[in-house]
Amino acid sequence: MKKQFAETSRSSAVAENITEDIIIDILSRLPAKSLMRFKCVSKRWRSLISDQRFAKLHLQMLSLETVAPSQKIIKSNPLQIIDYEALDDDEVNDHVVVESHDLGRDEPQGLVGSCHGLVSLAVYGGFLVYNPTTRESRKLPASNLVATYECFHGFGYMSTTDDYKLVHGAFFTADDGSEECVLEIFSLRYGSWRRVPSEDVPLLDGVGIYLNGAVHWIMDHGSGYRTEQAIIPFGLATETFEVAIPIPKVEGVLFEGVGIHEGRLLIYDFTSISFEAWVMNEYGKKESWTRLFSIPIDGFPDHKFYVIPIAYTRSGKIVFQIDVSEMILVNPKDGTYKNYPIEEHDNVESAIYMETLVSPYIGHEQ
Amino acid sequence: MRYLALPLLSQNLTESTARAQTLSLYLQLSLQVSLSQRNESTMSSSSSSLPSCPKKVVTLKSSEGETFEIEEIAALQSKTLENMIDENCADTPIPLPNIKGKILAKVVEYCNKHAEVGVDAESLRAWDAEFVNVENTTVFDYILAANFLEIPTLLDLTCQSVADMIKGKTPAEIEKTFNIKSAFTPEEEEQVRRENQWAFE
Repeated sequence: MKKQFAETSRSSAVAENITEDIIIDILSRLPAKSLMRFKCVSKRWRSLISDQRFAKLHLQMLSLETVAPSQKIIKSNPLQIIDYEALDDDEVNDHVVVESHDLGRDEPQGLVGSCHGLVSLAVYGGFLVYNPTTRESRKLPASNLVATYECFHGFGYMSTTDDYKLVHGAFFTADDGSEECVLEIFSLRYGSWRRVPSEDVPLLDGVGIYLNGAVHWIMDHGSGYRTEQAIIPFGLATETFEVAIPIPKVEGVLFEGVGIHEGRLLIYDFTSISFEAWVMNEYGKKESWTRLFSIPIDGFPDHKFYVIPIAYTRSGKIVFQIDVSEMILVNPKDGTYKNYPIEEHDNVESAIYMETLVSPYIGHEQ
Repeated sequence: MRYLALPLLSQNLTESTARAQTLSLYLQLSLQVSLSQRNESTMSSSSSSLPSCPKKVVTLKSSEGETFEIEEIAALQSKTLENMIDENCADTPIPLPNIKGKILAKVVEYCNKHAEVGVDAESLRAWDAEFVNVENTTVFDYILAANFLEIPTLLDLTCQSVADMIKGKTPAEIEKTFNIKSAFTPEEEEQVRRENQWAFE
């Protein structure tokens, strides 16, 4: 829709009558990137755009939108941002698609969660919460919990206190040989770690996926043909593990991981022949699990360990991370793919995030 | 004659303003649904059970004194007018000294269109797109009118239209559009630009 940008002398008189609540309404509909630029317009606009109450309004507008919010992928080792939609466009050059970010001494080793545009990263000695859009980063104080190999993490939002929480759990083998779990939670608003009671914690692994006030992991019961799988939610409000959500038993498939797709939990598996993804259309309802897609994997790059779905473009293509080094954009219609020009120094971990103005300093505004 | 007083705004974005804003945004969207339902039920009840009565009409007077008639059904899209109708203040022409005739005519046209029954969503969307396909100054006039008359759907349409128009602009272009005199000194502006330089790439 082309608009004439008419600059008549009337425009100044009209624009003057535009009250601040109207300006706020208009600004709340803009992409975060535009808003970051418009901080230069005036001191008033800068103050408005930096205000966390505006950030919250903007976030709420994003969730109401009929068009998908602007999203990108963040990856570690080294820290880079990938404009994954851009690769779908044929005439694009590398620097547009991948952008390197520098956090100085805090080079992230891994990703531990993504929620509302905030990404939680594991760094040497602890954790960091980062907003790649505003580039604000907050190093969290070290926890007492020593990271072991048997760790699980999650990061998510709690609406009752308007807070973000980082969950950090580790399993230890006690002297008597039993598996013990220690669970700690960091609240961004309160700024400290708390140990929470943790009996009978299921043996979880890896990064949980945030949705609807809880962080979710996939878990197996039993073994071989009798393996039962379920999704275990950890409620951020109750700070306990809640009722497991059963996963369908699909012939020849043992689901490897959890993801998220358009606000629904997604589970996936890759066999030697195909990649399967299922989504839960109605949260908590076992019957609502539906196959999202199943694509042949024979054309994919060689992989030893993982094939992880990260994002879906507007045109229906899928971004996969292959093992810990490659990222590809696959066209499910014909199985062809393109490589993202990412750098990899070590184990790459990646996650999708929304472009928002939310500050990691929530409650501790600088 | 009573007018619905618009809340006076302070320069500070208060908690209640932000909440009210979010609330009004949610209301706008839910109102869109409930209004069309309400209009449908009102229309059907008046034609089936009651004897035919003349459709009530409200008269609006622009800043230049020109009068415009609008059916009560269509006028209900405006919270301001709805309140006046409910309080029986709408029997004589309502003066709207802030709104020019040219704009008021279009606002009436918008309300009439959105009060129509049996228009499918797709064609209404296309009609709306054409409605805001005008000069920026006119869109701003629509915003002011929609704000004063409290027509949430029109406010939503016009604010979205402005947002779409400005999102790719540079700060200098924004200053022109909104007639803002930047209070930054050149050094301050340079600092803000540096802090947010990646937003310019």
